[in-house]
Formats: sequence, structure tokens, C-alpha cells
Amino acid sequence: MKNYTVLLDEIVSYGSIPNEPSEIVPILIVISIVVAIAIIATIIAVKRNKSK
Amino acid sequence: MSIKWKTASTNWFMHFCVEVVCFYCLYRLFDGGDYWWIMAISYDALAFAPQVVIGEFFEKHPKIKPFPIGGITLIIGAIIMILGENAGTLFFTVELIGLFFLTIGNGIMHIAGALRTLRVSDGRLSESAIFVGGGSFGVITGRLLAKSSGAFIVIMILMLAATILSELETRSDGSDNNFIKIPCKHDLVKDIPIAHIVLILGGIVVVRGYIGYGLPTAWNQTTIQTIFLFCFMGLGKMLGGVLSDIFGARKVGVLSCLIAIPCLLISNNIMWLSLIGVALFSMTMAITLGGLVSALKDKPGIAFGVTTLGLFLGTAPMFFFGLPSRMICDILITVMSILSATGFMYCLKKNR
Repeated sequence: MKNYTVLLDEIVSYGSIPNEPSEIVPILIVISIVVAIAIIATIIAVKRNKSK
Repeated sequence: MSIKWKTASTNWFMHFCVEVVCFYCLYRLFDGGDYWWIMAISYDALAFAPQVVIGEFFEKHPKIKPFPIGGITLIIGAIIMILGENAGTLFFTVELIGLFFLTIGNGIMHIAGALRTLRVSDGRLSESAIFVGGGSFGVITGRLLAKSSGAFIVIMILMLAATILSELETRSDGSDNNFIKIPCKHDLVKDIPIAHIVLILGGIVVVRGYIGYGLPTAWNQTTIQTIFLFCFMGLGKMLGGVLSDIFGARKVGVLSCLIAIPCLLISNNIMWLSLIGVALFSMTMAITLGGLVSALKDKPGIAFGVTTLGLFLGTAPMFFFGLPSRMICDILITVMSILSATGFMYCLKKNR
């Protein structure tokens, strides 16, 4: 693993998902919603800028 | 070219302190433990992705002061997380609440620094690049300090000082929070559709966020070498902006992408050559930001948010799939660097 950068090398080391699904799924849903909102906000901003 | 050093250095220090606090908490509480994966991905997502929305909010409400709000939110989050260490069965719940405040505070401080440095820079990239560069130094400092429990009070005082300094700096030129209304003068991109620019430059951030994990650094075995690695990343980010202002963003962007390829591929065991490659690889950060700000002129907060969203989208696959083999990584570094250079040539003006 030391062949790779150590930016967050622990994540590489623990590459497999260690937690119980019951803990992970709700958090992944929240993360997905946050990312979706961010992408939609970006698209709206680009569209608004285009129309100016 | 006269860089506004006071703005640049204050925001460098603020960014440094923000990352010290965040990485101190993450590594102190979770490093290698059962909750490392879930806390690391939650931190990445909640700190990086919402910055588009946070940027839009502070641009719409210029009377609200982002530095004090962000700094205090971050400090509250850090205190909840550190106190939560002794919460027993409620540990995970308390840590998630603390992480929420920490990441939102982190996002607000990033947006505040970006808005300040981009809007007062008269179209230069240096100020925002110097601000961005502070993060790498903070990440490694926070990681190293995480081994000492006594360091927490010191970094809290530093964070408070950074918040006060950043707020005072916005008042030092008499603009107070009105800096959020100063128009951005960046003019780096060609007259092509904004959607193309956002997709291409955002895409460059995504792919470079991903392959950033796969840079060959077999030489990196000791703490001091890791410190060098992070320092060169930070220096690269800062130099990317400064050199762009001197020689032109397009020239610096294309050359740094192309020269980085041989430096990275042949230097797996040669530290200094590898560090030069890492610095060159990091230079594109300021240039993509400059390009996005030029396209979304009156929305620098959103432009900065697009880069952080891109970084999250680039790093997210790591959490699920890890890294491909060394050979695939090398191929990706080569192909993606060439594509990034092509993207810069397509989007950026020749004389800029």
C-alpha cells in the first residue's frame, strides 16, 4: 500500500466498508441527497448565468 | 502585479487553522477505528458538496458575516466531537452531531475565504491560490498533532484567532462585508458556452481528485517525507495561481499537466523528482478555479463550490472501490493529464 500516496492512505488500507449496513445506509442516503442538491444548485446557477 | 498580501496571508492562515482543527478531530477520534470509513466519507461529503449552496446563500445575503458564523460553528463542532469521546453508548450519535457542525463550519470558512480572495483580487489568481494552498499544510499539521490530547486547547485558540483576524481583515480596507458585492474581474475563458466550461473544468477537478490518490510515492516511508509531500502539494497550489498571473493561466495549466507526467511516472523511488511532479500536479487547482470564476463571474461562491463538489465526486469512488493496480494508475495519470491539458486549451484564452 505504500506504493500509493498517503493523502488518506488509511482509506486505501480499510478499502472495504467495515460498518454495519444499518449504520451506513441512512448516512449514504443523506450524502446522496446533499450531493444531488449541490448538483441541482450548480445546474440552476449555470442556467441563470447563461440567460443573463 | 501587486498581490494583496494581507488578504492572501490572513486567509492562508484561516484555511490552515480550519484544516488543523478538522483533521485533528478526525485522526484523534477515528484513525483506523471502526468508524473511520463512515466518518471519513461523511466528512468529505458534508464539507465539500454543500459549498455550492453555502456560496449561493452568502452571495444572496451579503449582510450576514460568514467568517464569525463559520468559525464559531466549526469550534462548536470540534468541542462536541472531543467531548463526545466519553459519551459511552451515545458516542456515534454525538460524533455525528459534532461532525455536522464541524463540516458546515468548514464549508462556510472555505466559501468566506474564496469570496474574499476572489473578489478583492482585481482579476488575479494569486490571492485565492495562496488561500487554497494553506489547506495542505493544515491537513498534515492536524494529523501530526492528533497524537497529543493537550494540543486541542492550543488549536482552539488558534482557530478563534484566525476567525477574528479574518473578520478584521475584511474591515481593514473599509469594505466591511461589502466585499461580497465587489465584481470579479477574472477573464480567463474563451467565448464558449458556460455549460461547456463548467463541465470540462469541473470534470478536470473530478478526475484529478481521483487519480490524486494514485500518485506513485513509494519513497514516502517516514513522517518527515509525508510532511514534505503535503508541503509540496500546498506549494504547488499556491504557485499555480502566482505563476498564472505572471505567465498566463493557459500556459501554466497546459505545461504543468504535461511536465507532471514524466516527473510522476519515473519518480516512484526518487523523492525530489516526485515532489516536483506532485507540485506541478497540484498547480491546476487555482487555474480550474480561475476558469470557473471567469465563466460564472457574478457567482464566485458557486464557482468555488463546483471545485469542491468535483473533489468529492473524484474521491468518492475511493471509498467503495479503492485503487486500481499500479499500471492502471500510471495509465490514468498519463491519459487524464493529457485530457486536462486539452481541456485547458479548449477553455482558456491564449493570452491569459
